[in-house]
Amino acid sequence: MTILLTGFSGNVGPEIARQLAPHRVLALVRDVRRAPRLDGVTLIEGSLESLPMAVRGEVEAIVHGAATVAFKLPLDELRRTNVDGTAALIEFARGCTRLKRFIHVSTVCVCGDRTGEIPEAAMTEPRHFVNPYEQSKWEAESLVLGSALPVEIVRLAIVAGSERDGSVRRPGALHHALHWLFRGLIPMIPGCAESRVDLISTEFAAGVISALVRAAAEPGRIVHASAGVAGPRLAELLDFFADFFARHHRGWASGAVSRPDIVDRETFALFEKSVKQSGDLLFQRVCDDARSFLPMLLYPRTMMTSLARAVPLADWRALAGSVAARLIETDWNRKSKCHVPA
Amino acid sequence: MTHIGLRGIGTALPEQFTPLAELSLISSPDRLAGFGFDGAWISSDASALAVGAAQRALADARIVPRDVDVLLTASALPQAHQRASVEPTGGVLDAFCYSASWLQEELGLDRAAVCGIAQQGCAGMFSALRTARALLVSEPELQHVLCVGADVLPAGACREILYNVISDAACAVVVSREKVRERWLGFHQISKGYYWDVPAKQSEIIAAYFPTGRSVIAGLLHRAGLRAEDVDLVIPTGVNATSWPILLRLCGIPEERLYQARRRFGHTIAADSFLLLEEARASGCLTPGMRVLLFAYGFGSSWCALLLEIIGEEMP
Repeated sequence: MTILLTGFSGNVGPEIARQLAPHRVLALVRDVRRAPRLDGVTLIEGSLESLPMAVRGEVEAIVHGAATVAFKLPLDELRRTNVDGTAALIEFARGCTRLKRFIHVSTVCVCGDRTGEIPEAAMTEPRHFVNPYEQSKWEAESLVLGSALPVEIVRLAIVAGSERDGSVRRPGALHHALHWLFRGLIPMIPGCAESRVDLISTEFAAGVISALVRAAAEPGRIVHASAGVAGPRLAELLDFFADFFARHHRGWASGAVSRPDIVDRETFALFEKSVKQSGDLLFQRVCDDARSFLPMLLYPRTMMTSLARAVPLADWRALAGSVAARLIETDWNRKSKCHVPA
Repeated sequence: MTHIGLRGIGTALPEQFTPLAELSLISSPDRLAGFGFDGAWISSDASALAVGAAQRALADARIVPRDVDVLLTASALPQAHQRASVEPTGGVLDAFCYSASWLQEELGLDRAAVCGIAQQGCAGMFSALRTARALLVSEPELQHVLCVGADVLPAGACREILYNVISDAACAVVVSREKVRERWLGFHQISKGYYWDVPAKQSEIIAAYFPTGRSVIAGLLHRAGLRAEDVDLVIPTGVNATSWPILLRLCGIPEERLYQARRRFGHTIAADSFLLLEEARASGCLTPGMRVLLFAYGFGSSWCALLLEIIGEEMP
């Protein structure tokens, strides 16, 4: 099968392409010279604004992984890629005469402020989204589900990094939060101690997508690439990082740096207000990063899973430890690899 | 009945109050006004403030200078522990003229043993009280320990420290084993030497303030066998007013139990808690049986929490 893959240059893209073998993958990239090289993957220069019309006759499946995942961007900017880009790809797909599958990669965050068990099903618009990214991805889901194409959706949980070596191609909101946490600059986290932090590896995310490609087509199907009940509770994860960081940071080792308090929305808002009043630029950055991502932890929920249960899931401790070690080692990808004691 | 606790309190503020607009600051006056500051009390003489506060505390405790068994003086600034010689030699001897000894002499505390408490930042007075109480517990013959805290920033110094406007002031507390007005229920301190380098670690210190503050208060209540809701009143310090509701929420103490100051003193390093405790006493809002929590953070870093129970007037 010939598969057009968007988002090849992103965090999960190369692993998706690797796991789609032996299918023929046409990877859409903005700049062929800067894109990763993989056997069996043909790089095609283009973008969601400039789709490769020449290959339309060859494409049998589309895996749409491209998205802007900068949580702090305004909604209009996020819509440009996540909604308008998806709309353009839908139009492109309509002209793919051999198209059998359109797999849209989404996020579990489309459920916004919903709590409890979240089914693998289309959902009405939540009352509240934690950030504009969530809204843009919810809008994109609505768009593809209404397109009359043979659409299937994979909603990814928080992709922490590679379970093989802890690498993270592009640090995102989780990794920024870990950076501030490691430096002892997060005094409190909005959330519930019981909330699950749905961490998955790059390999697991790609594994669920490739499993869906291998499975028989079921237009309208939605699957969660989620750790489900195997994910850590927030308090448990913070305890884990406190112990882990103690091996790499004198402040954590001595107990001087404390695990952040888990607080309700109102307390965090008071802290944010105080930071804003102070004009402290560093803490404003910390708060901006925290606000864009952490409030999702205010909504305890478990994503129901079906297909994902057949894909091997790394233990969250191994994954979190491996990713954190790699981030520390590379100073959050700012320097080349150096040795960090285990 | 014998209780160790606070028998007398005295405070002293300088006469000169300077509004924000005329102070040397880092942030804009508007920003600092939003944090509850309107200016600073400024003095050039910490000794005079210390004498004034100590005399008021002795009077409040209804004891005379010769009744004092121990004098503890607390100052955050190193220079506050020294007193200029009347005949300086220009040599090393000049450095051995201590302000605590001078204060003993000035007040006529002829029976008192003298000791200075340093390197506790704004929590110095709390450490002095803790030491006083420990002395009373360990040495039954002692009756009264006078704790005096005084700090004056150098002339022309920037008056802003980590978003707080610093005032000069002094406070004094007589810790006794009888006829006390506030009974000692408990004390807890957490010190984190990791934060010794204040300029280099100021952001980390700000981040550590809340979780460690919560820990020290939780630790105190745990030791006292009490719950957060058992605290009837929290006497704040003069630090950033927006921080107190956050700290109380973290501790689970209802926000309405935060004492609402009638006067603004700014942040006076050692004296805030006692200026406000004195004010609360005078306002009549302290009633027998109330449990009152005091909390302070000092560079170093140390977080301190003190729990008192109001006894009321036991004086003859």
